[in-house]
Amino acid sequence: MSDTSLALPAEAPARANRRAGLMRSLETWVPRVLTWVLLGFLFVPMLVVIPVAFTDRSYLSMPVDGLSMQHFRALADPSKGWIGSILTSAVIGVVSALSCTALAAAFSIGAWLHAGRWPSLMRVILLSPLIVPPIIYAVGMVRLWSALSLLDTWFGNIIIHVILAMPLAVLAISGALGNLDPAVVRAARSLGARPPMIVTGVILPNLRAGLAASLLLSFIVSWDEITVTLFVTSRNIVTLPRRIWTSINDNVDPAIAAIASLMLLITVLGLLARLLIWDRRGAEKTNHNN
Amino acid sequence: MTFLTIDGLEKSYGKVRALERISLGVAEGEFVTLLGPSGSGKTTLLMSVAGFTEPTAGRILLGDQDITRLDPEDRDFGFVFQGYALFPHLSVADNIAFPLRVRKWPRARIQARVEEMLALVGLEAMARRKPAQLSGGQQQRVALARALSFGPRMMLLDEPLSALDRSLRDSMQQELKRLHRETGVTFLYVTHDQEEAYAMSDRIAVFHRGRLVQSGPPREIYARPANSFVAGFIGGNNLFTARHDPHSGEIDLLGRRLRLGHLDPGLHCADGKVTGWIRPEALRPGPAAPGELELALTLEDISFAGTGDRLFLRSPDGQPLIASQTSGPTGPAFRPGPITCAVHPDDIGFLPARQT
Ligand SMILES: Nc1ncnc2c1ncn2[C@@H]1O[C@H](COP(=O)(O)OP(=O)(O)O)[C@@H](O)[C@H]1O
Ligand SMILES: [Mg+2]
Repeated sequence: MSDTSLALPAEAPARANRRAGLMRSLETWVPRVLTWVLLGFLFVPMLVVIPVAFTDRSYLSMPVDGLSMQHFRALADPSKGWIGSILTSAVIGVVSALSCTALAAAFSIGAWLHAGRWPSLMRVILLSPLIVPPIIYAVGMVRLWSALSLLDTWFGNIIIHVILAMPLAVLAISGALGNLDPAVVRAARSLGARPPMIVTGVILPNLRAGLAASLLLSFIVSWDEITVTLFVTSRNIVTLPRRIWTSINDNVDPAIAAIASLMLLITVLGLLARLLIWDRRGAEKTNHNN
Repeated sequence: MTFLTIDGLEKSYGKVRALERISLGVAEGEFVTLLGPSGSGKTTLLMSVAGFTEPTAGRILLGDQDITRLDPEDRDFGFVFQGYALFPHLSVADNIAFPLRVRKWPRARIQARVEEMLALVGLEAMARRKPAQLSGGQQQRVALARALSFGPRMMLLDEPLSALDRSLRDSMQQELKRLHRETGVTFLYVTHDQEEAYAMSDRIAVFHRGRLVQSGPPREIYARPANSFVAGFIGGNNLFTARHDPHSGEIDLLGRRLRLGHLDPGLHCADGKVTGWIRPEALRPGPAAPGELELALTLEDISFAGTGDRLFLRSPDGQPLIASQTSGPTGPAFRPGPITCAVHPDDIGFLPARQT
């Protein structure tokens, strides 16, 4: 017994080695394949719009007899309404992102300074659009907005976008506040600073990243919002998502592929610019530290 | 003349009484330390002086001005927080300049003062750095410079050294003493570390469970503790109980029956029990020299403490005692078992019975 058990290990290490090698290659290949599959699902549908945008037909299709710029020309034609919708969405997006961030910052800073039951309750209410499905919200909004004569108005739309973007704005700003030591407020007071100085000179400068995130996220929520918009707009306010929606319903106009390609291009350029600037700043910081 | 007067100050949080009728005077230029274990109310008192905590009762006077209800931003006190609370977005120089900008000093004067403060704390080379790029000790210096820059009427410091490691703490103690000397500002300092308090203070106020139990110069606190808490926790003494016979004047002490000349007969309580204390370094292994008292004890355990040994002993009547030996590694080797120890009668103290 003891002899065999002593003899066995001579072969066992080789097998164990082989098995370990197999495990290692699995460990490297499985995540790689999964990553590529995931990236494919993410990007292929987006990339498909690019050839479609250059189709020579008047319906959504791949180019058949050659490439055509006609759908991009259609975008630039003011009578087709695309430019108007882009401007409408941009104005609503910028105004609601600014108002939403200002309100979220005011609330978050107040709740951070005076923690208690009411601020927590208020926070739950502000975060509720995250939980309530937009369609339910939309149905309620139609009744309320018609009673207040706010249907199909700039003001009415902006308020809705502010409300819908509020959760993300509050989360972004509270997150930044969570990284700030509350003792800095006491420190500032002991050094003679009064509330306006404390907010503008101590708290806000430390929230720059959170405020930027809030602006970006709430703009994206507004730029993208379709569900509630469909219910509360008709002829006056036609946002870009609403126009895309209408044009798909009416005639499957390849112009939507053209606009999608443009938005994709702008996003990619934005990401590249950010990456480059970020990298350079990061490099500078490391140099500075050394 | 007292500069800061704390008069009958009380603070309750619901049922918790964080401060009970605290009265304390601080003279101008004095370094006073509030010493006590965690939760004894030191921070609450300091926050009340700073104006961040509103006392339930009592008054705080600065000179003859009542500042009890004054806003913290109007008190002109320099406050150094436990975690420093530097402004993360401002450079070292801008942190120090902050109170000066708030006070709308002219630019040239701000610059001159910032340079002066940087030199005072030895951080000239760090002026442009952000707090996150500094070590703990350097951040501490920035916090001190910032609190001192505007010429505060008084400095309040809440355990400013507790986040530093030991060797840095020692050098920062010296630095704080130097700053106190050079600026002449009154310091009210909070710590739970008795060695820190002994090393730096002109006067120590000992806190226990929201009460001020004793205040006086460090040597007095050490030599004449007012109660068993001060003797035990603050002084690091051995506490023991002895039985006193008021008729014969004799005392049963750690297994011996003897007559002690300096035991004040007013100290004993009804059942004859008294609490005494012996400093660990006053209890010495070995036979008694003339005039000393010899005790037959049991050595239970020995622990090496770098500069010497700590002997864990037990008296014949079952009370634990600790002896500190500074003999170092060259000293005799001790073994658990019976051991003879000696103590000079003058090194045995007794506490007023009522307060034990
Ligand atoms: N904001 C507060 N609310 C309730 N209880 C408090 C508050 N601050 C302090 N206390 C209580 O008051 C007592 C004294 O606390 P503190 O002054 O922080 O002690 P120390 O600084 O000596 O550690 C403790 O029992 C603490 O729990
Ligand atoms: Mg404390």
